[in-house]
Amino acid sequence: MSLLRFIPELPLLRRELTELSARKRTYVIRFFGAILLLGWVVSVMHNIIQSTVGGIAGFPAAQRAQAMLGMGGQVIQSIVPSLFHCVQILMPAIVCGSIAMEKERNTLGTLFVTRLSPLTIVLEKFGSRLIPMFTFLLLTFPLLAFTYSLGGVDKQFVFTAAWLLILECMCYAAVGLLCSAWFGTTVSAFIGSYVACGVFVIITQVIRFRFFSPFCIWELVFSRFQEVHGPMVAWKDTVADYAALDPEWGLLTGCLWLSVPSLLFVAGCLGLTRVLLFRRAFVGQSSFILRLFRRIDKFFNDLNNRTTGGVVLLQDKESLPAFDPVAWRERTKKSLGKARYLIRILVLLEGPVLFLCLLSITMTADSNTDGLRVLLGVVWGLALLVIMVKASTVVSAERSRETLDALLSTPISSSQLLREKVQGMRRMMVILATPILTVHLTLVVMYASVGGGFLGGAQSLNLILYFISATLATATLMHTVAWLSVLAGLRSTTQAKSVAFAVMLIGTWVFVSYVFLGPPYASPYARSSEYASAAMRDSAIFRCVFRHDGWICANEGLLSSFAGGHRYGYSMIWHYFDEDSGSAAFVVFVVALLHIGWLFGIRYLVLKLAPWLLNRRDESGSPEMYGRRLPHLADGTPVLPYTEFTADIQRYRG
Amino acid sequence: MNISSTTAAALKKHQDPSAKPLAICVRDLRVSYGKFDAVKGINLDIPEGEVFGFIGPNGAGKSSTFRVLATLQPKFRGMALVCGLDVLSQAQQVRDVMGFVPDFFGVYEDLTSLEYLHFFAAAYKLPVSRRKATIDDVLTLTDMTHKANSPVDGLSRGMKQRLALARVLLHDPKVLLLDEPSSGLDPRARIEMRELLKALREMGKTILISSHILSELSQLCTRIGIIELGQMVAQGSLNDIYRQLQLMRVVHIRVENPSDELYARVCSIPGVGEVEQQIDRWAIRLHEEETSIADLHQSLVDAKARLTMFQPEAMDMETAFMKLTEGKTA
Repeated sequence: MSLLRFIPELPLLRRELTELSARKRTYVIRFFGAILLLGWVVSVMHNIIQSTVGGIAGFPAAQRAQAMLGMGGQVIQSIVPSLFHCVQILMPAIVCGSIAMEKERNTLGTLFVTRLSPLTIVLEKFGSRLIPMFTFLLLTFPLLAFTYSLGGVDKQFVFTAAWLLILECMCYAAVGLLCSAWFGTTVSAFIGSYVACGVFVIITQVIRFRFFSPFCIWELVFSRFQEVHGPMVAWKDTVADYAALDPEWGLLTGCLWLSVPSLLFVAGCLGLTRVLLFRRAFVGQSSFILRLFRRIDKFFNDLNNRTTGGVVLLQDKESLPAFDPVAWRERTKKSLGKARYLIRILVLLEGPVLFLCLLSITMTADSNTDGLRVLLGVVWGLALLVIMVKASTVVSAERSRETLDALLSTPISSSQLLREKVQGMRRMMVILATPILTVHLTLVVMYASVGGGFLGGAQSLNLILYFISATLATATLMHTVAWLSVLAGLRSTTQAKSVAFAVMLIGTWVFVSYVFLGPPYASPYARSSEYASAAMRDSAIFRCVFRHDGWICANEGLLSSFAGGHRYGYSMIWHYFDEDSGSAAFVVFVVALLHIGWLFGIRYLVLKLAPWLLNRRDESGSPEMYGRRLPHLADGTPVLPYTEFTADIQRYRG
Repeated sequence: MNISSTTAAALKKHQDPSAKPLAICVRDLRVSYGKFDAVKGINLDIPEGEVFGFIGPNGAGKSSTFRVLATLQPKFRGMALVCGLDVLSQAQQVRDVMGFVPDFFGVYEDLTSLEYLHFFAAAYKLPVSRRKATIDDVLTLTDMTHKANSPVDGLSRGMKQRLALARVLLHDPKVLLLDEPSSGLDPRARIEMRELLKALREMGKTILISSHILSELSQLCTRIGIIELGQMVAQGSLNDIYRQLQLMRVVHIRVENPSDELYARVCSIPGVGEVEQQIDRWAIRLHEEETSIADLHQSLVDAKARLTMFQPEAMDMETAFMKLTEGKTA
């Protein structure tokens, strides 16, 4: 009993964990998360075991089982990176709402008037988000136990990996908490967290201070092929020294030393969060981007007034909605809808992309497009993030601002409401598609100029076809993601939940694409005639149809005939089609049709489910049509015919 | 749907050509959220042009009933008609004849009042040619003309409620569903809101209004319904309810000559149900339909009671509410 006195009560941590345990969705998310995580881990294990034991497939079972012994270490080394990536993906999402949600509910002020110190609040919030992540990671324990039983597992490796995973959780949680304290809404904190974590990773990679990032420490210490630059040599030597001094625990001690900068980074983030907790406690909850644009507007207007005396060449037109009010509001009143704001975003995005594309054309020899592929991935990632957040919150934003009921009590049908919402996002999609298409255009130019001169005839036609197909693929994929995100956000009561659902839905699709469908191309190291077999070709087409990036993969086939397809993995799909441009165009056509079909199918599903998900009925007919009978008297006379009302409405509408 | 003979009789009354048709008709309405029953079999008959006050403690089921009538609650049992249109199978037509002001007012922070009204005019599919004139009319009616170009976000709560009323008047609905329109308003804004609602009543609108401010409803409503724990406790005109409650009106008296004999004489007065002897007074429970207050006074004098106090308990909406409800909340 006397010892219990020294254990702090931690009321906030207790409340957060109680809330978490009381929510049904905690268990649903954990269940599906566990299935995905375990599915991934099992597939990794399966691949390793297959590659090792597969060679003795004809041998007796006992002999095959024997061959698996001692493979535990190899399996664990393959699993651990997945766990790091899992933390990188989930942790910002878990943490971003911790303080921002208190601001949204106006409950942060009530915490301040209690005897909890700001640092206690920060630490308890920090702990309340770390514990669920740790419990999630614990789900892999049964598999790790199985792997351990295979033998060959290095104890140092397991403990070091566990420590670095904990450290990774702490780093990402600290960054997420900082963003949560800075931003006024969970959605802006969500975006901010991912951007901040991305910047943090890029910085640690670029400036080579890899010891800041626990995953990089793991890579540094364990990867045989890891390049070591500049100051890192000293660190690696330190680890090696420790390992030499103490063969059993030296590696772990070395990792602990390398972790000091990460721990300092966590402490710094938490300290800054403590400061921001008060300063940003009552920050406005209006759109961050809108406020930013208004400030920029004010700056440029003042500048214009001073320099030109207020000359305005293009004046904003103030319009009023005629027939599609919801789309009108999305287009003319939202920060991501107004033309002048979108032009600024375009300049911001397109400038660096254009620069890198021009650099790639002028500097890269022999049409090496690897850099452009990375750039394409980055602009696609950004576009998908923005579309997901925007589309998933179109309804939940109305719900959380308590404007949805007023809208739903008007005669606008649920499907019209959603159609107009997505229609209002099109301008934004065009802006986001521009850098993507710029990269595609650059690819076309680079492939067209292979061999020093531009190609002509049928080959040029193929490149044009590629660009058209890429444009259509971009539009289709963006709309598919938008409709799926709308679906994910229809039931959610808060914007944070809707974004989380959308991320889960799209993330699951991407994850399933990678894990269960695999790449739609053969390994460059496994090119052989058997890969060009009909079965493999069918498998490739199947994968292209169901993968999130299937159409983009199929498009690559159109490019690969111009410059060695082996340069880029996607283009390996080409080898399934006998390097025949005609069959590639046909495959692209089929995949395109099916992907467009997917889009319309998803759109139809969302519109069909919309009334149910919005908790509303859209029926408009006689009650009998829907199996309802209005009250009637014994003689069969309807009690309240009221047909004159319908006639009134018709007259009123002219 | 088969209906009981009582309901049929009640409805048949409204089949009478001379009687006003029902603008709202609710039969055995039941709304449940999981295992919790929010509304447990409510019946409502509101003829055209009536202002019906819906009173009840928080969590009594008022807002659930409003949401059913506003076509925003598709899961319910029973029947709900607005202007004879079924809220389930004719939801779109119901939205044409009904205007709903919820108990909260969310704002589109990016719109001005005028843009807000144009937005909803388009949502209600008003003909473009008539839109400007209609918006001008509702702005004038709600005295919002001077705030037409003000951002909605910057309006006071009273102004926002007026704007909400202006919004639901755009399509000239027959029925208005107002869920606590005066909630959180300052006294001036409340009085202005009440005057506005009176003007709407004059225009012949059928209004179903809920409020916690009972005195306000008593000035505005032609009939009221008191709901508690999802059940209608009382329904009728104010006089009906008062009369119903006055069946056992309490009259406090103080006499100079209290005695057992006098007590027995008072108990034997026709209409007196019970006489409770308190420290300084007697509390008489009186059946008013048998004996009026004046007659009781006369009977007490005739019974040789030397009265120093004769105080019938005041009957008002608040008393009625307190008497009819037990203070239970969900």
